[in-house]
Amino acid sequence: MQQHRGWTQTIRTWWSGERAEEAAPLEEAPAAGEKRSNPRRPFYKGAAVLTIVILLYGREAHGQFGIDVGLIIAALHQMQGLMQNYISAPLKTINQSQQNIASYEQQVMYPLQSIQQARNSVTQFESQFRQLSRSFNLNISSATLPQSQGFESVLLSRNPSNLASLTNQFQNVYGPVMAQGAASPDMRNMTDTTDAQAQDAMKRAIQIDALSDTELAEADKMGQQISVAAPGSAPILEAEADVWVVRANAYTQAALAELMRTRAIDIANQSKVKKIGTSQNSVTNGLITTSLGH
Amino acid sequence: MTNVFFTPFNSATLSSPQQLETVLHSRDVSQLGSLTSSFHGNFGTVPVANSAAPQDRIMMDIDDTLGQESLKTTIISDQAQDSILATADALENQVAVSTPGSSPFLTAQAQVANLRSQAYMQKMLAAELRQEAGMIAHENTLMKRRAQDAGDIGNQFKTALTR
Repeated sequence: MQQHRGWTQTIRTWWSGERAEEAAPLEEAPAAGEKRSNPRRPFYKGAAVLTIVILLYGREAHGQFGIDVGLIIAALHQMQGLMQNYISAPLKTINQSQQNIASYEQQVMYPLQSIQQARNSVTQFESQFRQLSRSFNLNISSATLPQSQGFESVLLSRNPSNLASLTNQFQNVYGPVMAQGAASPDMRNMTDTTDAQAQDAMKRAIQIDALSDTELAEADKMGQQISVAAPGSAPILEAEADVWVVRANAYTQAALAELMRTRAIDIANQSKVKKIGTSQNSVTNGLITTSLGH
Repeated sequence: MTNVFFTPFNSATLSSPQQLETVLHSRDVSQLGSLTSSFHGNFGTVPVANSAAPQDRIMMDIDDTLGQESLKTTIISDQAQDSILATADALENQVAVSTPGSSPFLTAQAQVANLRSQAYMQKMLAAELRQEAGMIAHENTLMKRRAQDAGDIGNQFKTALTR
């Protein structure tokens, strides 16, 4: 308080100029009775008033280049508040949802134990099927004579490149079509058609054997891939297997079609034999009738 | 279904056919070797040389061969059926405890098993094709022979009648 009064007294004294000599002790002392006055005092007074006015009523300070730091800070504070209210809270909700989803996927949708169990099952199935595929590759030949052994080796070869050699082997076993003049044209046509169908069926059998081997090899390959696949890639392998099944169905249908043709030729042959018999009977009857008429 | 499918049935009454039937119904590929002897026990062997026409011997041999091939294929296929049925049962058990994440493995495996099943069926069809083709080829050979014989007899008949 005393200090405050001291400052007030100093300012009042300075304003009235009563002890100006103390402020400038080195200046030359004026003559007695002459009133001392500083010519710059009005300027100092004006400057002091101006300073006070600026301090009391001056505008807020501006930073360098005219940027209002105060406004920026206020805006930043406001933005921080907005972010906390409208962004941070929803983000927390999203994060919680994501954690819930991840937990659901790990525990319900894609539990690692269940996936591993399925993979182990696939591995076990594959092992059994590989053993079974070997059974289909067992040697089942049983011919004892050279001609039939050669023919059988082609039939069971599972190799389509042997198709060309089948005709010779076939004729070694079943004989060729009768020579011209040795039988009626009808009979020769029938036997040729029948031989052709028999050979076609055998050739188709070789092709089907080769195709089924390819399918089994592909099944082995896909089975191995499934046993190490990810849950996302297993459906792709399933789609691939679907495509192969569709293809296999077509091959099965081709084999069935060949089988139907073979049986159709068989029944047509029986009918043809009756027709030929009837025709030959007519010829024979004519000959007998003619000879009896002589 | 399993009980119905695996209910055994036998029809042979004599010892040799019973033995063959047992082998045929064995569903066991290790029995393939005994099938040949059992087959010969029931259907005989190819006649020795000079006891039948060469063509007949060859045809008897190839007919026996095709017959045995088909019978052996059925035994292998029976075993394949058992494996496929066992796989179906195992897959069904797995499906019962599967999760959405593990079921794609099982469906993919089922499709691969389906593909294998198709391949086995094709092998059976190939054997059936060989057998049917052999059957019509055999009949056709007999037809050729009869035609040849008929031609010969006809010529002799004509010659006799036109004298």
